[in-house]
Amino acid sequence: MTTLNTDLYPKLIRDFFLFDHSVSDGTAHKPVTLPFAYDLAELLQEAEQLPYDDRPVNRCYVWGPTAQSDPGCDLLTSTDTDYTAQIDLTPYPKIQSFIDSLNAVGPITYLTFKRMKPRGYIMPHIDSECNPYKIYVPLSWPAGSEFKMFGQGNIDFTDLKPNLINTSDVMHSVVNDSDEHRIIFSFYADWSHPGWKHIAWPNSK
Amino acid sequence: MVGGKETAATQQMSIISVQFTLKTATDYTVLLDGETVVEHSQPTLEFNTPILKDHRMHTLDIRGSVQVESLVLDGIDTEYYTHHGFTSNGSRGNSDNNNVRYYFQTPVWKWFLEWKQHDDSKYRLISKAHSGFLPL
Repeated sequence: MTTLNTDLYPKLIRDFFLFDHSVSDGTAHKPVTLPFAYDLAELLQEAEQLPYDDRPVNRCYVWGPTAQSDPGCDLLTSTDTDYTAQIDLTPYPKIQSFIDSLNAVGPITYLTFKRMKPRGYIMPHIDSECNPYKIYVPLSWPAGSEFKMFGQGNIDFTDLKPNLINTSDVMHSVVNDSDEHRIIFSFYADWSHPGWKHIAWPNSK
Repeated sequence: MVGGKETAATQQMSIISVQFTLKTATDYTVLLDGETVVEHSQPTLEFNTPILKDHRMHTLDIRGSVQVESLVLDGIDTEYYTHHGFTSNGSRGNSDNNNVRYYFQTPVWKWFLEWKQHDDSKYRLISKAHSGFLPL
């Protein structure tokens, strides 16, 4: 249960966060461990300098299908096989290095950074047109930030740990009920690749 | 539930506010679970329900020649659910010459998220993309 500090949030969000006492059964989200070292503070420092757009939740599209406009996510119907940086990453060597490490595990297909303003929110929704699974890596998670899934509890971003989340099938909502910006990035990968399959579903054959 | 023992969960009750706005309306009657609540003629109406059993299906009928523009249940804007009313000619929509019926449950937040999760699912999305709007 999360009682939001402000009544600025729409009642659907307030009720969802207050009355949905569900807990995760592990099917919709779970912490994952990335098999390489990275420095969250260094990534955050660069992420704060990225060229974000002016959406209510600012986005910066960093990696995706080559020679295409931003598809918005890794689309369910995508048949792309070639992926490249969507901005010049030269000023962001730590982010470039992180992406290189991801691609060493297996191909990633789409990556964006998101910056949510203080008291910001995203209404409950599902990303049904997208690849079901993506990994979120929070770079800042001020007290009051919550990522809640309908019937599946809250995402555990304690210690800024990455989580694999099924955003395509389960309604979810995000709030930043704090006085600080919150920055997170997420990426889709080729989950059929052995490297990613091992990280996402280590017990599957 | 008939002849059964109700659980604590099904004994939960709610009183909620209902607010709707009509684009066009002559005199109309509002019924909740088949019981007349009010007769009215103004395009915007708000009232509180009697006690409703949670987790049961309830009906809201707006009887008259009406076109429903918005429907806010328990302070929650049901958005495009307004287009998922049941009309007197057997089709779906928000406009009818006789009656538009909406089904809902309390708690509204839970019912509405369940409905949206279903209506926005990838399978429904593919159907909508192929056939256009496809109300169930």
